[in-house]
Amino acid sequence: MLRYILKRLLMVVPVMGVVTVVVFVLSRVGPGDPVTIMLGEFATAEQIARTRTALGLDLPLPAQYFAWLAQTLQGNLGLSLFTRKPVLELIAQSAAPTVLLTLCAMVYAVLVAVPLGVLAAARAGSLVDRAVMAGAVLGFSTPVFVLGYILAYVFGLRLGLLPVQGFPGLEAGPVAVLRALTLPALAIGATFVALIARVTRASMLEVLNEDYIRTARAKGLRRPVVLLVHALKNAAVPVVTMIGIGFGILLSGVVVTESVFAIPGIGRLTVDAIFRRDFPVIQGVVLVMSAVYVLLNLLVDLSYMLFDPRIRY
Amino acid sequence: MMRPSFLRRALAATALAAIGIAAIGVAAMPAAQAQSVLKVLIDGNVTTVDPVVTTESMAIQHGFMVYDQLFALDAQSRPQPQMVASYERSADGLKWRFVLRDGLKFHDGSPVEAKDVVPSLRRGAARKASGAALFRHVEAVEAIDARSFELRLSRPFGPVLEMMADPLNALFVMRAADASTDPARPLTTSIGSGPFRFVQEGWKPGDRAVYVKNPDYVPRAEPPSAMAGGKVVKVDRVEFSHIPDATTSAQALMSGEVDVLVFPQLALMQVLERAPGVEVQMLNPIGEQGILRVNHLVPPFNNPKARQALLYLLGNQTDHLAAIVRLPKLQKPCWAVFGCGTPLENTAGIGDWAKGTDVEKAKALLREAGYDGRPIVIIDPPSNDRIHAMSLVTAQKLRQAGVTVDVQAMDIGAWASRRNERGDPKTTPNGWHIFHTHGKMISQGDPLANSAAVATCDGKNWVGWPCDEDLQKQLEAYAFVAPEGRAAWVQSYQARFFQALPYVPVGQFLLPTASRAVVSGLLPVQGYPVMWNVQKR
Repeated sequence: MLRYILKRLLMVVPVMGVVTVVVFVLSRVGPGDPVTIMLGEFATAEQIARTRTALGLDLPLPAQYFAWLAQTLQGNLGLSLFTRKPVLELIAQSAAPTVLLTLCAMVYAVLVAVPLGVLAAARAGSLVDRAVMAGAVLGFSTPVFVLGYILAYVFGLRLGLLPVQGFPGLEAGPVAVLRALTLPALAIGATFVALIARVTRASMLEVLNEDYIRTARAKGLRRPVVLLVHALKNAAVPVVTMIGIGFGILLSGVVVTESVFAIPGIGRLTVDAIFRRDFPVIQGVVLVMSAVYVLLNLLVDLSYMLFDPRIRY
Repeated sequence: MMRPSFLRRALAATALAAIGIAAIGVAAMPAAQAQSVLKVLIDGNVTTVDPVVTTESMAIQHGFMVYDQLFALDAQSRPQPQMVASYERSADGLKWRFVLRDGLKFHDGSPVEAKDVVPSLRRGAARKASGAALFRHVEAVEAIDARSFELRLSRPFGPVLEMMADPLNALFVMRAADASTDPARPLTTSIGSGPFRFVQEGWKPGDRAVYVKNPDYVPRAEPPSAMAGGKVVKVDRVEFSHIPDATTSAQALMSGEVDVLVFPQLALMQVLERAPGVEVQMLNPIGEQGILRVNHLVPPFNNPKARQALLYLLGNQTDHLAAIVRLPKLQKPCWAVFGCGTPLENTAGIGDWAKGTDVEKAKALLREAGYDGRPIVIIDPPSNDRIHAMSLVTAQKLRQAGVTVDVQAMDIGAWASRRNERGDPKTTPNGWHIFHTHGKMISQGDPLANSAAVATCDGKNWVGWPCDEDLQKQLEAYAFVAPEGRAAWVQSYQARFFQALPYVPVGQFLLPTASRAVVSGLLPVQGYPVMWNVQKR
């Protein structure tokens, strides 16, 4: 297994190499100039040229790329063009809200979706099954911002129970953090409840038709034991894959949720950087998120061994 | 078939899981805060703490928290001493001597001295329109002693104090070491002598910027009047943050999570006005001026007749203003170049177009200009609702006049860069004919700070590159016009302006500020709202 892990990790190197080139080229070839944005509405061409020189943006693109690559290989992702803060510091600062939001959303999604999926499969064709599947379609089809506004209106404005926006910072303590993340987690988690419930149901239905399930039933095992111990474990591989992909999607795709709920996470950092053409931040975030995505995929692959003893690396 | 007991348990577990997270979150309400904290939503993130290097509004608002000015504009737009205790002007108007107030201190404890003021003025002048206008006529600026400095002019430039008091192009006083930094390089720390101290470790770009009351600040004895007078701080801490989503911003104010929303989205004004516990105020009585800018280098707008056709399409400006601000009480149709409600308001040169849209006249002028049916490219950043509204109305009016219009939507970053492209859209893919923007009237109404009015023929002026030597000569002459001669000056200037048309004014509109009812003391200002004098009950 160690050999497999090392092999997979080695494969990360060329992937990241390609990522550096792609993200550098994409961020530079598009229209937009950070200096024009930085200097504001009425800057003259002369002022723009001076600032471009001061920030090293007048160098040829290959020179800029290799300079960035050299410092990246030393673990330094450079400085934001605007804040002049280290990109790594900005990413670290934004990572906490995003990671916590992702975890909350996924825990909520799994806790709700897996039982619902099992239930729907166990009662396939019944009213319960149809209700669960209809709920899944609704959850998947409702845009996160619509659900976000509804939740904020009901729980924030009408009932006054939860904040409608913001992230208080880890220093505010777990209760304040959970309060801030509850509504966004419910909003973004809805899609994953729908997805995981559907995948769980489909996978369970497949497993429930297997001979070993019939054997387990014939042995007189109680229905819950058959469902949760025998069937669910064997149906778990696609569900775990879905959860793993979901983590990746959530970590890198919470832009809308973070915007609606004003959470200063990776999504907002990325969008702000793109709007401002803050090249070092765009490059740094994409690089780090790509690495996280690759590592998450590796972890998901390794986790298959826990659920299916036939899988060995 | 599952047993009913298992079904019940499974359903109960599902319901509990769904409620679980919410229940944990609801479990406790936040503890009461001992300090008086004012949470303010501004119109963007504080992404740079150097108010000199950029003209971004967030940096300016940050600047007024942390730094102080030598002079400041009062509610009547008159410059009043702020850091300056006294000053004198020589009889020939060429020599100005200023003495700083006693007891001024930077936030690191060091005294504010004339040696700090001199490089601060120089750095500011390198980036700010007002400072640049002043320094074009400065022969020397020197520290005389710790508290005095002298400004020597090559010509008797009139509005010296006005330039030092400009709230949008503020010449903030920094420590000598900071002020000696290249103005093209943003500072990363912010140590001023203003009424608030910047909490460097509390600055999380993209989240919030934190300020605390400066206990060493000695306010002037005069009562506050706009940006001038005593800057008395009445809260312990101010937090600036930004919510990109307009609806969430309004909800945050309505739920009491924030105290002040500096510029609420105008589409949500009626919701906020009806919300309990929320007050909407018009802090800036003259507001902003909408601007239609054409590319003067390319056909058809390199011909003044084509530019004048735009006047007849805009007419009485009400279509544009209605699209920008919707509510009639926020609209202020005004063709005066330097604005209405400003010292230079006048009607010279305003023709019959101001009565209403005249499509036929516009068509005739376009024909005279030789318009050949080419698509007119309007660049439009939809994320800015005001610019977007103006762009769409202009496009529709041009279409009514038989013009082929190509509205190209893009993000604000691409839009800002694209405007620097000088080429003809017919041959240059990134070329453009028209864009809209808007500027604060306090700046647009000042001939020395209004960058859109500059019509030098060297191609170094603001994008659009208008060229009219006569108009430019008149504009430059303003600096040497005595106050009593300004009314005559603006008559002559404005008459010529509407012939050359460096830009088309789209009228004025007001931007209200919303706050919780527990907040009081927001001062009426013509720039951005300031946080001194503000109280939270």
